Amino acid sequence: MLRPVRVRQVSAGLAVAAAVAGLLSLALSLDTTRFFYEGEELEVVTRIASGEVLGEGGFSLDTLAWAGPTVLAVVLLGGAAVGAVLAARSDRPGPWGAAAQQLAAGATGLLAGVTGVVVVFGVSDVSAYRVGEGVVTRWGPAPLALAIAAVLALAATLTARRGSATVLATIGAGEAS
Amino acid sequence: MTGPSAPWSPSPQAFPQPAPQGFHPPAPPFPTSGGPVAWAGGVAPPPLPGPPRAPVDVGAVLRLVAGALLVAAGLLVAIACTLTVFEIENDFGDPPFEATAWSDSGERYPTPVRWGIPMAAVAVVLLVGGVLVVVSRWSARVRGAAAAMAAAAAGGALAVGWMVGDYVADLDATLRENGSAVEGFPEVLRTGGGTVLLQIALWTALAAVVPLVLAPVLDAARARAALGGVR
Repeated sequence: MLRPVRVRQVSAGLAVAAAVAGLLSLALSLDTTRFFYEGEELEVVTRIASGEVLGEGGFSLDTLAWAGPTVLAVVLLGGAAVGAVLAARSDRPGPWGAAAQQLAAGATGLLAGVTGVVVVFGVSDVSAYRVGEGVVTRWGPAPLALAIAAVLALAATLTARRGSATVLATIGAGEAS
Repeated sequence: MTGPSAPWSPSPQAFPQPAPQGFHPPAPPFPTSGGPVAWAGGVAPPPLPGPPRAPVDVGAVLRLVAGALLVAAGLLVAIACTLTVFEIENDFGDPPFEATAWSDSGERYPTPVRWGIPMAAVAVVLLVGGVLVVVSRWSARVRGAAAAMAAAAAGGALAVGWMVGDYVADLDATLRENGSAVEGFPEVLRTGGGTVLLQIALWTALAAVVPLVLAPVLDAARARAALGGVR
């Protein structure tokens, strides 16, 4: 069984891991669509975090960016990690533990919201194969990285104020009774 | 030489003594029908103070405000789910392309972008968070969970509102760019009520964070003041 101090150190680690996963999603793609004509690849469209569309002749009328809210979530997670480390100096969570929990919760909401929007957009993109035979869309790794970041941030939220040390003995209790 | 000392200071009875705090002299007897009623001239006596009023619990008021703002934001997002997100009109005589939170005219891809799924989830979390924050005004036990839920709800509203707003704004900019670059490309995007309500909900949810952060700070200040009063 972990001591409360150790649990808050774990919370700080989870917040850092979530921030790393969130940062990673900024370097990954949402999906890649390939357009073929008579077996020959004509165009490749890859969606990235800034909303840009990459690839040979890559053009898309609509774009979806997730860099802004993800960067904000990473900043909040950094704050949550610092708060959790400061809260780990004693067995009681105190105000630093509360601050760490709320920052991590805000980051969880941000990452979950980003994941939800990215997924519903990607589902629409992937359905492009039904337009005709020459279109194939594959999921990129960014939604997975965002989902992992959201889960880690949630774990950091749940552990930021977990437990306080049990009182094992009270000095003078025997004399009083 | 001994003898009676000079009366250099008056005796305690010589001057009227101030009454101790909280002490009020008894009121003069009310004249009865036995004698003529005469109103004394001069200033009327001050009214008797009532029992001391408890100071306003500002932290509790702030929690109620934060909860109300979160519930309002949740309702706005829920309404936004039922409205048009955007509409693209053209001069070709075709019906306009309309995208709601759950469907579109079918011009983009076979499966529409269902913005309504994350929007509905955010609406639920905002409503639950708002109710929890209101309940935490009376129950200190749920304060931690309520604050965390509210922070998560505000984060979710921010993410969804930000991304959907950006998507619509970027699409509008692209259509304008194409319209100015290519002759005969007269497509105009109209932002729908759903997007507008979502932006209002975003700022309402963010506004709820301010009283939510201030409430525990004021609680701590109040507790310190109470401790100081005891000492």
